[in-house]
Formats: sequence, C-alpha cells, structure tokens
Amino acid sequence: MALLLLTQLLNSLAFGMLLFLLALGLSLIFGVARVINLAHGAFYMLGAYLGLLISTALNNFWLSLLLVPLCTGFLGVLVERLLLKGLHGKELEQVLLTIGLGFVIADLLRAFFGASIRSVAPPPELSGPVFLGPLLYPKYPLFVLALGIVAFTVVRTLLVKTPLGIKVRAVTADPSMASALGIPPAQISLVTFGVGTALAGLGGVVGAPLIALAPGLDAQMTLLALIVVVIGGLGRIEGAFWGALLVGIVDGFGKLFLPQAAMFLIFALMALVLAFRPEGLLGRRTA
Amino acid sequence: MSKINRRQLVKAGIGLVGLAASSRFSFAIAQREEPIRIGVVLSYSGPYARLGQEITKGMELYLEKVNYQAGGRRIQLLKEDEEADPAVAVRKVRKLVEQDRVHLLTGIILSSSAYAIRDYIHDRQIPLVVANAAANGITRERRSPYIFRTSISAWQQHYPMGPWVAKNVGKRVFLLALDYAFGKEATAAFKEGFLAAGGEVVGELYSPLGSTDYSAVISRIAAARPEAVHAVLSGSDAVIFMRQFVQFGLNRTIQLAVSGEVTDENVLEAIGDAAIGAKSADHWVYTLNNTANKEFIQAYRQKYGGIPNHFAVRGYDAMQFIVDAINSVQGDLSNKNRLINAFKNAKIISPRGFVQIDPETNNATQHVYAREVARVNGILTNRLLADLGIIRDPGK
Amino acid sequence: MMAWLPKWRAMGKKDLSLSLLRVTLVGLFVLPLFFQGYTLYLATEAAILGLAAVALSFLLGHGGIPSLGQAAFLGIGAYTLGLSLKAGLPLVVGVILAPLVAGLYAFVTGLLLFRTHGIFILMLTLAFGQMVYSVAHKWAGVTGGDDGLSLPADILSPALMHLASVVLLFSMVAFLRFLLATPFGKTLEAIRQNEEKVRSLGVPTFHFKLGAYVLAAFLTGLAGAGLALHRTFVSPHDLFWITSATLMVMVLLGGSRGLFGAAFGALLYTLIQAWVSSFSELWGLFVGLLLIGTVLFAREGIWPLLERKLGGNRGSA
Repeated sequence: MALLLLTQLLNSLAFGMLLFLLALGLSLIFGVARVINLAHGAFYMLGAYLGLLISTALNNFWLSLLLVPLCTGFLGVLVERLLLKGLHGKELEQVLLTIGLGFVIADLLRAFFGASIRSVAPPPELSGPVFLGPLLYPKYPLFVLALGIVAFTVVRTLLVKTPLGIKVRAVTADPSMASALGIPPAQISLVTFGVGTALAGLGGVVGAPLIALAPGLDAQMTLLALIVVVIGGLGRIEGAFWGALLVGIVDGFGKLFLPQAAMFLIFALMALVLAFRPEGLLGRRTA
Repeated sequence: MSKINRRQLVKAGIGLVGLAASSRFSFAIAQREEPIRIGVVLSYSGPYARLGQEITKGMELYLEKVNYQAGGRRIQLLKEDEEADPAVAVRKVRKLVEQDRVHLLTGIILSSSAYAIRDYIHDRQIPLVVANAAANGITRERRSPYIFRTSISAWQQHYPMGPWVAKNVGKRVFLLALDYAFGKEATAAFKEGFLAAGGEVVGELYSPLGSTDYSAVISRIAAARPEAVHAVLSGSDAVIFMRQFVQFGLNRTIQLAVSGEVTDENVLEAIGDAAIGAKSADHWVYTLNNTANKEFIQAYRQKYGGIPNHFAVRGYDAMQFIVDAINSVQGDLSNKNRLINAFKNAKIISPRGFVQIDPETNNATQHVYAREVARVNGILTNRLLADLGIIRDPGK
Repeated sequence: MMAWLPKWRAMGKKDLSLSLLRVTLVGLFVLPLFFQGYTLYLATEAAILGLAAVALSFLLGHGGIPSLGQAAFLGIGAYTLGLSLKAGLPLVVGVILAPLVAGLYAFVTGLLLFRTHGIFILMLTLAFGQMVYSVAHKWAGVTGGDDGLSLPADILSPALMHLASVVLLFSMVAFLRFLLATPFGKTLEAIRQNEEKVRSLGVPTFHFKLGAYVLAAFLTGLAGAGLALHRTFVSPHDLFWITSATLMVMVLLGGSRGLFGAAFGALLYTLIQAWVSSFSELWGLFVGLLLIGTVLFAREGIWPLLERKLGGNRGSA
C-alpha cells in the first residue's frame, strides 16, 4: 500500500509539473497582459506537433526543447500585436477572439498533420525505468518533475531579481501606476504574452512523450490550464505552481480512490474557489 | 432577322425535335441512367476523424474494385460529417434523405448517432447499413427492418474472449474500460464469458474519456495483482495507457488481453513496440490467410500505402454488402421490400472470412479471432492465434 | 390598436426602415414553412436556438453578465422534457417543468455566482455547466449516458413545431423589450453600467442580477425543451461547453446589445454551419475565422451594422 501511495504521489507530482508549465504561461498572460487566452491549449498542441516534426527531422529532442518555444513565442507576439492590440480591457471580446484562434490553430494542425494519433518517444537518455529504492519508476516523468521545479525557480528569480522581472511585477500589480513610473505596460504585455505562449509550446514538447497527440488535445489542455490557474490564482506564479500540484494530486488520488467522481470533483473545486476566493488560493485581488 | 438569329432558330428547332424523339425513350432510360446515390455519414472532424477517413478508404477501395457500378447503374457517394455529435448526425441524415434524395444510407460511427436517427430511418423506410456503431441495442431492442449492421456488436466482439482468456491466459483478470456505453457493454460481455468459464474478476475500473494520464489506473492495477488486464479503450486513451503500462514495467508480470480496439493497426503505430505481445480479440486479423484478405491488403497498400486496419475492412465490407444487394435487385431500387430482402439474406466473403446477415436481428454473424501483436515481416501488426468460432449476436 | 396610427405617421423614414428590417427577419423565419423537409428542420432549429441566444443577449448585453454555461440550462430543459415524457407525463407538464428546473439550477448556482464579478463569472458559469455535463454523462441509468435519450417522434407536426418556435421566439423578444422599459429593466441596465453607483443608492443589485440570470435560464430551459421535441433526441453533447460557446458566437454575430440581432445571429450561424460543414471538414477553421473577423471588424455584430446602414443612427434595443 505504501508503495502504491508513493508511486501515485510521484505520478501526481509529475503530472502536476506538466500542468504547471502549461498554466504558468496562462497565468503570466492574464496577470500582466490581462488577456484570457483560451487558445493556450492550442499553443500547447502546436508546440507538441512542432516538437514531433523537429524530433523526426533532426532526431534531437533537446534541440526541439529549445527551438519550439521560440517558434510559439514568436507566434504569440504576432497574435498579441496583430489581433489583441485593440482589445485591452474588453474581456469578453478577448475570450471570443482567443476561442476563435484556438479553433483555427486546431483545424490547421489537423489539416497539416492528419487526424491519426501520434506519439513521441522520450529521448534515449530519458527512457526506461530507474530504481528508487524498492520502487521501479520510469525516468521521463521524473525529468518532467525536475524540469517543473527548475522552471519555477528560474522564473521566480527572474521576476524578483532582474529589472525586467521587476517591471513585469509592477505592471501586474498596477498598470497605470507602472505607466506613470515610466514603465510601458504595452511593451511589457507584449513580451509577457510571448513568454507565455513560449511556455505553452515548451509544455507541449515536454508533454508529448507523456500524452499522445490527437485532435481534441487543445480543448483538454486549455480546460486543465484554466482550472489550475483559477484555483491557484491568476497572475502569481506561486499560485500556478501550488495550484498545479494541488490539481495534480486531487486528480491523481481522485482517480485512484473515487474514479467515477474525479471529473466532477475537479470542477466542484474550481467552482468553490471561484465562489469563495475568486482571486485563487494564492492570488491577490486584481483591480 | 439577321443571319445569326436564323441559324440559332434552326439549331433550336432541330434540338427540340431531337428532344421530342428521344423523350419517349428517355424516361425509361432515365431511371436506369440515374446514378444510385448512397449517403455516407461519418465523422470527418473531431476525435473520430481518423476512423471516418479509414472507413471511407475501405468503401472507396471496394467501389473501385467494381468500377463504381452496381445493378447496371453508376454509384455516387455523398459524404457528410457527423462531427461526433448525434444532433449533427440527425441533421445530416435529413439533408441526405430530403434534399439530396439518397437511395440508401451507410456509415455511422457513433452509437449515439445511430440511436438518434433510428426512428427517422424506420419511419421513412430508408435502408441504413451501419458500418461501425457497436452498441448492442442497435440490433436488439431498437432494431428495425430497415437497419442492418455489417460491422459487429460490442457483445460479439468481446464475449468470446472471456472463455479463451480463462483457458489460455489466466484466471485472475482486472477489467478496465472507458466510461461510456461501449466500454460498459464490452466489459459486461467479456465478464459474462469469462466468469462462466471459471474466471475471477479482481478489479473493475472505468476511466473518463480523454484522460491525459493513466498512472493512477496503473497503480490500482498493480495493487490488485491480476494475471491479466482486459482493457476496453480507444484512441489516445489506448495509446497513453499502453505506453504507460510498459513504462511502469507492469508488462513484466501482467499480461494484456484487451479489446480489439486497443490493438487495432490505427493506434498500433502510436503505441509502438510497447504493444508487442498484447493479446486481443477482433473480427479481422492482418495475417488471415484467405484470398479476399490478401487481395484487400494488396489493394489498400497500392492505393494508400501502409497497412489497413479494421475500420477500412468495415468500410470495404459495408460497400460489398450494398453492391451485392443492388446487384441482386438488378439496380431497381423502387421495390423496397425486394431490396430489404436482399440485405436480409446477404452473405459475403470478406477479408474477415465468411460474414452473413442474421435475418432475425439484421446483425452480421461472423468469426471472431484471438490474436497477438507482433512484428510480421517487419510490420507492427496482429497475428492470428486462434479462431474463436462463428459468433451470432443473441438479439436480446 | 388605433394608438398605433399616429405613431406610424410620426415615424421618420429611418424608423420605418428599421421596422422593415425587423419584419424581414420575422419573414425569414416564417418563409421556410413553405419549404418543408430539411430546410424547415434547419429553420426550426435556428428559431429554437434563437430563443436561447436572445436570452443570452438579454443577460449579457443588458444585464452585463457573461455566461459560458447556458448550455447547462438548454440541456436541463431538454432532459427534463425527455424524462417527463418517458415517465408518461403529458407534454404540457414537461414543457412547464423544463424551464422551472432550469430556473431552479440558475437560482441555486446564482447564489454562488454573484459573489464574484467580471471574468470570474464567466469561468464559474463554465464550471457549473461542466458539472451538469458530467452528471448527464455519468448518470446513465437516468439519462442514458452517452447513448442519449430518445423521444417519441411526431408529437407535433413539423409545421406546427416551427410556427410555435417562431411565435415563441418573437413574443419573448417583445416581452424582453417590454421588460427592459420597466423599472426592473432600467435598473438592470444601470447596474450593468455602474454597479457600485447603483448599490450606493441602496438598491439590492444582487437580487436584480439573480433575477435576470434566472429569467434567462428559464427561457433557455424552454428552448431546451423545444430542442428535445424537435430533434427527438437528447445527448450529453448538448451540454458540453462548446454549445455555450456556440450561443455566444450567435450573440456576437447578432450584436450583444440587440435582441433581434441575437435571433438573426442564430439564423445566420445555423445556416452557415450547415452549409460549410457539408463541403469541408475544416468548418472549425471557418467558424474560428468568422469569430476573429467579427470581433475585430464588426465588434457590435453584423445585425447592428445592417441596422445602421439601413436605419440611420437609431440604435437597437
């Protein structure tokens, strides 16, 4: 039983870290650019398919880990500049536009890559199991777990220590005050949006060996990202981190002990958080 | 009148005379020359798009074989997308029947779509050849004299595996299935046969569709210590589960004896070598050694490249049934009863072997085979282990 | 009745054009009666969804409440009617129960919903909608699960069904317009524009928002019942959040502040979707582009654009 619980804990944490990578981007985008990006899952899927393409063409997982986020980040910047520019503050329009964008990306991916299910093998260095004491556990989820923690530390340090990070936090806290202090919110939003979609793409590449690629993936991942971000709090990366872990654990142990109710539980949790603490469990009230 | 006008008038006059002359014969020929319109309703978008594409490939492959001719008339396929939404299926069926005036309908991937259109089909008396939907009820309590299923029912596909697993694989089995109607019907059928043969069920779990992670499920399976797992999954769920099963090393101690949907060639590609050794039951196997199958595989490879899967076979066979029925009424579709009777008594030699429509239920009676995933001449596919017999759906 | 006459005469040319546009819309909905078959089927579907779109337009455009969970009420209405018919209850009972049950769910969730505001409401309605979806999907013993629920066909003739739907649609539009002119409606508008100010005047804004939400759910539940009757089938898919998004698209196309516009949006969307999906499986791409295009270039919706071109500067209501 202890072994079972330990295995399940590791599973939940690894899946949680994948959710974190996904939700981090969404959280940043909302916190700074104030955009609800419902195309986030589509960017994830785009990243996953691009990763597939690069992995097969260049046979190098690590290269795709570098290149794909650059591509999706760049696309994100284009989207923000060309499509979202005039919609600041108009939340409903943003939602609808990004829903439309998600449809467009998903259908284009299906047209280009086909409707069959594709899977990506983890790189040889990371495939196969490893012994953790009495436990036999696959390497790749551990890699995802480690990557999530590293990403969290890196982003946190960037936000706290670097000038750019400070500007980002200023704009998140109070855009008009930041603007009065000479920080251009529009530019910061642009950069953050690009970083956000880059992270979604990164999530896609990292997640592909764990989750198969098939039509419909984008909607699933958008919904999951949304749930994490709502529960953890919009705009704070600590919120995305702990929210992702919480969702990962509730989902994992829920499936283990109460599989019938797992889906309902997640939404109920989301509803409760929204109703009683809408800023999220760790978020702060946005204006 | 200018010269041009007069020439036009003469031409028109000749034309009219010619038309009048031919019109006496043309009406009789018109019915013969009018192509037979077959409405094909399948998923071309959404999660089942691949299935729709493969079934269509099979259908078109067969039609090419007979040169798109049946009963002396040309065949025309009108395809519509059911989008994985039964409300859309209803709409498309209505369009095909009322606007496009099709003579018969085929396709239908989702069981819910089949149920949604059932009453409409029955009231309008349009022949429907179900080429995929597996819900038992379609040829049991909701059957209709106008609805024929040439694919297979969930019960047929999974019941025979029960006794075979009890005898050849193990007596302690964990049951896993997707939490929807097909998953439940398939599991119930397997359980029926398995328990009757002395097997023991050590765990039963239904997971939600579109799960992105099966590690919790695998933990539970490991804890239950079965000899084998019977999994009824499809699409990305099948891929993720199979890969994680091997990733976690469970394949070293637990066997996989799963539904044919999990090891179908369309997902094998994505699962990869992790699937090797997995046993399953299905109504078609790549290595079936009959002429029809060899011909089918070769034609598929030539036209589409790669190897076929059981969805392509389903499409191929559905079209064969349709063409045969049209041939036996010599292309005269005006007498519905004759056409229905032709379907009722239909039998074909399919790549799956001998398939026959059961006149009592309008469901296809056919062989079910036990098979195992292996590399055959370097190709990742299934090889035949045993013929589980000719299985007829009981109809109740 | 005679009071209309001076009003007609007082109306300027622009007002007349506006009315003509509206009459044309009504006409478009009535026309299919002469066509029968598939065209009529599509038009009835548009009329029924139109009612749900109008309810959302009222909620969103006048109440300021963005909801991505209307599909829940649609589905609740549909399942209530289906189940009551299955239980042997007469049609009238089912038709009355459907909006009541939907309204009840709106009331209960509304109590939680209006503790928050803005974008959080949007997400919370999404969550509540998905909860109903998962219940419909799992509770297979009652709802039939994903096999769906079949209803007896031909309870009403297609022509009667269509006529009833169109009459209901436009009478509800009229009713809502009347409501918006009452103190309740005016207060609602004021709340939408600046809730804090209204609250500072001592008005219990919570009750007004809840009332609007329940009313919209009531109408949507009624539309759901109509949908079940029309399609003779209910499936959990009707409750999925994509259906809620579709209603949003209809409202957007029509213009979120117009009730007639929402009806127009429903008609337009139904026709486009049916037409496009018949010749391409990339209809998602098309809808996505349509959404993006409408948000960027026709933000008020296509109907107000028409209104303005034909009716001058008189806005819609």
